[in-house]
Amino acid sequence: MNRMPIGQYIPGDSLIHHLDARVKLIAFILLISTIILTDSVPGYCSLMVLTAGLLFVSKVKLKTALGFIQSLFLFLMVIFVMNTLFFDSAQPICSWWIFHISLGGMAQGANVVLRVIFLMIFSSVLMATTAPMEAAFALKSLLRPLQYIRIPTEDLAIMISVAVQFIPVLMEETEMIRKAQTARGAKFESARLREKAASVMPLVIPIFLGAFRRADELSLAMEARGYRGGKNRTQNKQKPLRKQDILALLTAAAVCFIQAYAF
Amino acid sequence: MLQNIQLVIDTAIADAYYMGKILYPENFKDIEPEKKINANHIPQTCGESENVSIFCDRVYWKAKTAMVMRSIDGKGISYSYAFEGSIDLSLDDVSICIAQGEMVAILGHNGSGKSTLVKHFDALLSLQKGSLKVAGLDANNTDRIWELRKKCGMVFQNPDNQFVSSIVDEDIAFGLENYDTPIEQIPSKVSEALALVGMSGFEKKSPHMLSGGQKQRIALASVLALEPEIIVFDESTAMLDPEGRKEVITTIRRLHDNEHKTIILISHYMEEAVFADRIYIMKNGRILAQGTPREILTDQVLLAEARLLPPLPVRIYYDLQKAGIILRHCPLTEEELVEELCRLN
Ligand SMILES: Nc1ncnc2c1ncn2[C@@H]1O[C@H](COP(=O)(O)OP(=O)(O)OP(=O)(O)O)[C@@H](O)[C@H]1O
Ligand SMILES: [Mg+2]
Repeated sequence: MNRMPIGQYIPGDSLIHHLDARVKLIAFILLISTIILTDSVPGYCSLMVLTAGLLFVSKVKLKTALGFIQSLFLFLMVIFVMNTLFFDSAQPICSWWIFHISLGGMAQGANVVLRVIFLMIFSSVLMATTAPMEAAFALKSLLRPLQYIRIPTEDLAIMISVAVQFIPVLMEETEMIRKAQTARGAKFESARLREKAASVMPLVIPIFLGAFRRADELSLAMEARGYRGGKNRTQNKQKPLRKQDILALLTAAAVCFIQAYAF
Repeated sequence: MLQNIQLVIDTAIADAYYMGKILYPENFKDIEPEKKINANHIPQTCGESENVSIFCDRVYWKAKTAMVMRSIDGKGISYSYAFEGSIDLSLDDVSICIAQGEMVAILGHNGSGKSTLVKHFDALLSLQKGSLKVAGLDANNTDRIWELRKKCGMVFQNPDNQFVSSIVDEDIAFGLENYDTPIEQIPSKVSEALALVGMSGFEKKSPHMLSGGQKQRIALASVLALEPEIIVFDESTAMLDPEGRKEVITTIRRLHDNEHKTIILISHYMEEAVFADRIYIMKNGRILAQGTPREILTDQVLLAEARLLPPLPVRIYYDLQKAGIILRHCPLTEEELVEELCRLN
């Protein structure tokens, strides 16, 4: 357990670390829209440059930012292959039964995979540079309008922030259970669909039970430390945005705009 | 010499009784000192200094619970997870009394109700039957649950399931924020708490990167930040390696000795219970016995009934006895064992 799990905050002193968390969240949303709007080679090239710049400024290591991809590799491969095989194109390179391999399909597959990768990199940078409770606080203040329709935004914010931190723990546990069940003879790698489906159960049930147990213990620990919902907690004073925050926000908006219209 | 000891004990009882009666008449109602604790109760065979020391400990505790404020004062607590009034009881008429500043170990087999009992102390379970006072607050009073939880902190078993933040200082601040601590006081309280567990300078670390023992000490710091009077450890060392266990136990003992916290320690390791002032043994939701570590842990019959294994030195003592080698005293710790063994030749 003693290695840095993926998606963790890494204390640091970079420009991005010091930005207001609200700004980071909004900029993140803007960048995601940028990713979705991009679908050309020059577009991806410029995204790449942007990513390199972001990693440089935030001092987040490339290895950290790509940490997710390792565990999602199979998933990404499947997306690519599915797109390649099933994309309904006018001129397939070769066709067999319901499968049509086409350039269009490959491009489509590459498109989706690249988007997911960029999305992962940007989320890694966001998570690596934003302390969880800061993120919760930012989330709370961005969600504030929802208060008017009686959504408990404070609780929601804490809930999301705590849940996000348990993702790496749960992922690790999944890996452990998978190994344990493989050792007992479960066939996850079996080619036959029926066996594969049957092997999922011994994986899913312990994971769910484990997650519930964790949630139960965590809620006890939180209650024992006096948590009683969002009210009555120390209110972090809303700090006004500083010059660099506004600058960062404008940069993100500009990038989004240029990316959307230029490519 | 015997007479001298009796004199000392008599004086101690008398002092304790009269002082206690004046200071806390309330607490004295159910204690009849001169009849119950009497120097005549020293067994006639008591040439053994061991028995005298057991006796002195007991007198000392009686005097202490009578005189000092009680951290935990529970009477007739019963609890059922099924529904109130069910006969399927997880706790069955448990009475427990712990003096301020005491370190008490609760031992018992799996499912004997230890966790169920201590969850009452923190109002994590509400009282179904009986009465319970924690740090002077009535556990039944739902309006003051938050005060009660501040007075009584709890460290759980799995270090990974107690953190709300992946940075140490935010996690410690979580409890403080729940009690609406002014934001400018938070950093200093966080570093004080970290200093108490010997982990100053870990503010910006991630708990996931620390060793098991360090994680539990951070969890302890999170509890300490609220300055509780009582700290409950529910098998907090169970998932640690021997090194981590030692770290945590050393920290707990330091808190008891230097900060005078009331410590309630649930553990499956008899070796940890040796350091307690007093031990409660639980079985099937009931308190089976109560006494000093020397009384309880050397009592093979009692421990067997509770389905517990005596600490290693005690087992060695009895094994040696079977082999015909009689040690003078039954040792509780490894150091004592070594001493006794050296004395053999
Ligand atoms: N949430 C629950 N719902 C129903 N029954 C429970 C629950 N928690 C505990 N019990 C039951 O109550 C009894 C006492 O359990 P408890 O957890 O207090 O024991 P314990 O002494 O802490 O055991 P361990 O050493 O395993 O931690 C057990 O018989 C258990 O099955
Ligand atoms: Mg338990």
